[in-house]
Amino acid sequence: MFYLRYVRSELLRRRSRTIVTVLGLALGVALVVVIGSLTRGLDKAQAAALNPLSSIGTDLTVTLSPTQDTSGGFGPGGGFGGSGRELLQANSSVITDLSKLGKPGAKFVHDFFLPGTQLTFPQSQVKQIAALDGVGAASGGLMLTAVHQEGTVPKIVAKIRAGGQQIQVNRRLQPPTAAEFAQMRACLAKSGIQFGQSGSGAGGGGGFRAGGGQGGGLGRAPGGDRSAFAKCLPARLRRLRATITTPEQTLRQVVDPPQTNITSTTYSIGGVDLAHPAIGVVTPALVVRGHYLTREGQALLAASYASREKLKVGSTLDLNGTDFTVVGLVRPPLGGQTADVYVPLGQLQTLASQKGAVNVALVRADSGTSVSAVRQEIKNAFPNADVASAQQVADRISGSLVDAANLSHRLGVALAALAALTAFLIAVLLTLSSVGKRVRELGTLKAIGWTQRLVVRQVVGESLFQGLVGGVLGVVIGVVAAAVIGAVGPTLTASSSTGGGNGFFGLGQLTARTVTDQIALTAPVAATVVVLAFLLAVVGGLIAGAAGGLRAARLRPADALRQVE
Amino acid sequence: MGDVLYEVQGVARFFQRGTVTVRALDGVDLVLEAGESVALEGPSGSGKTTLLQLLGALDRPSEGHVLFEGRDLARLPDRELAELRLQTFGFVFQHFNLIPTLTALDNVVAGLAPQGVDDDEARSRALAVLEEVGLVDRASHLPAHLSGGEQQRVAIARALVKEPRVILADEPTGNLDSQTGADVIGLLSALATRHGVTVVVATHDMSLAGHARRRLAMRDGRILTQAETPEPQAQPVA
Repeated sequence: MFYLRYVRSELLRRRSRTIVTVLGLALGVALVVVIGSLTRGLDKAQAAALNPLSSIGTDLTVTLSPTQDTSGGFGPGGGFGGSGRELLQANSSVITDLSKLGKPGAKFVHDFFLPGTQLTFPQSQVKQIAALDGVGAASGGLMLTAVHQEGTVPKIVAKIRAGGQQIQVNRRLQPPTAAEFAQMRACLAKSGIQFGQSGSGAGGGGGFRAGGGQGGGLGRAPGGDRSAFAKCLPARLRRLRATITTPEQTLRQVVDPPQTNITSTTYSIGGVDLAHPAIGVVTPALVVRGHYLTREGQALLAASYASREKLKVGSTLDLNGTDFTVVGLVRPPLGGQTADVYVPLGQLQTLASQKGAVNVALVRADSGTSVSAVRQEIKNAFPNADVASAQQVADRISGSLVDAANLSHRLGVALAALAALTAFLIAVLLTLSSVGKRVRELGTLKAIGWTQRLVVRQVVGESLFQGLVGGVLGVVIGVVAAAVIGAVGPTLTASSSTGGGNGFFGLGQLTARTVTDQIALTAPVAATVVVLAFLLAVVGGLIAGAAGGLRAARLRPADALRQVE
Repeated sequence: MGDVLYEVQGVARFFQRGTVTVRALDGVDLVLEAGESVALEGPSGSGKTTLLQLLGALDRPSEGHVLFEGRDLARLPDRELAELRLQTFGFVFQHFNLIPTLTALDNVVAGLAPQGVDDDEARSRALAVLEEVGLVDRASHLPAHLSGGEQQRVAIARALVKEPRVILADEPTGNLDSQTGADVIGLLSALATRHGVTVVVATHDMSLAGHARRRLAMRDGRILTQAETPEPQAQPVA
């Protein structure tokens, strides 16, 4: 009892020192709890957002990106091998004129579908992939960028006839050399034409005018044999006689489209192979409301898109005259093949005039260990294909979530350790400082018969109590702070872009598909973190007390008394 | 008078102050008997406090032996020295050395608690001793709320509560005015006589030294003279 009264008296009567120590410990513990909780929250957010492929049952995605090599073939067979030219061709519909949509002045609503930067390839090649060794399942998908346009058909459509021009080339040429001149003379002589000495007319000095015929230089009478002359001209002079005619073509071009009230909105649309629901650009597991696609005429919407466009389950979408009923909302993973709208693959192929074509193959390996082997196998079979693993897809994701996650990974543990160390140091320093001021008191205790063990126990008891109070207070502060963070829910963004970065022929912006997800950060408090932080404060108090107490108690009583006298 | 309690044989105590060796005690021989009342007198630095600390097992000699009832204190382990300080010796300091956060009562209990005495009994015994020193009504006060004389009386109560066989008092009146000092030393002497306790008091106040039956004059770490006072002057208990 006496010892407890002593502890209580010490803590209560040295109140300011006790409060500072307890608050220091509490702050450290609270920081550990908050940082631990934030790290956990980020891990959870990451698990959801940065693990895009596993959530769609896929180990690898196979796409065909255009290359800069314009010689690459994309023949009728549709082999893997893209090119910028083909990309331009594939996306050309959006730069054709709008006059096809109706008479000038008529209202129109139209959706243009573009394959973006992922070139299409025949669906049959997905089957070839599925047949490769180690491949468990494969399905195709068609991921398109859609431009929804509404407005009035522009009135001014210019027809420009181009080509048909004749181009005459005039160049100052070197006069014939002596040898060429001799050769010409000999040639003309054979034809019975005398090529005289310097003539009397214009063009003296041995020169002559091609195609002219008249003028000096020819020894025979004016009006000589032109064909003979042409034949005898040196080859390099003969070539210049050709006249270049450019091919004729008619260009129809919208002139200044914004004069009409056309509005364009861009969204992404994915064609889902209904035959493979377990592996696809969207899977039943990602449905957050409603149900998965079961037949044609149904559509799934990304929850964020639905919210933005004020659409819900039961809404109807009209895509160029084809109605789709929204049957579910999904939360698509980032970084993978994501879209705002998902419709059955066959219908999208029809709408986009891409019959039998897909632009992504989703591949699941037989086992997790064979993923790299399968990847290599696909690359061997289709050298130009872009085969991305889950990690590569995850690496494409950027945004504040990734920054925060990176920060958390790099600094989370360090910050928590720093906070813990700070709290620990506060406890140690304050205890040592306190003990340092109590040397006389502790020396007196030894002088009146207290053993070293009793003195240390007394100081440790005080520190332990401070550790307990600081730990409890810190846990309370930490949990409340974590709850506040959870309630405020700061949002982090995670974005994934596919294509568009190099902006082929100005299409970059149009064809790029960037999916951004807003993820509310939570700070779920883990019991282990709380216990760890609490123990840290208590153990910190114990160690600090033991160190300080031992330091004082090991002094001889006479030395302890002498230090202050 | 009684049995030999202390035998101090050729004791020296050196302290190293940088490169200088300070000889606080330099060849002290002394025999103290049980029940004696002894005053160590001399100016500051004469070695009084150092000798008291050696007698009270607060320190170990650099040379020589301090025998307490035939046991060489220099050879006893710390635990046994602590046991002696707890059971056998009682200290009174010039600066009182009370625990500032404890009440007068608990300061007295602090001298008893390590003996493993039940808390209630300890408090009861402490109150009894406080009554002896005339402070029972100040038992719940903190040292800061007591006068210097009262604080020293609490310190005397703390030394007496364990019923020691020796009380070692180092300048017990050094921080008190002369009247209060005289009261305190009278109280100490009377209680020592009543409890049959051997008392060794270090003081530079010649008049207070007169309360002791035996006076040892110290200079420069040595005992110069010894004198006997025929009739120890006991003061009535306050």
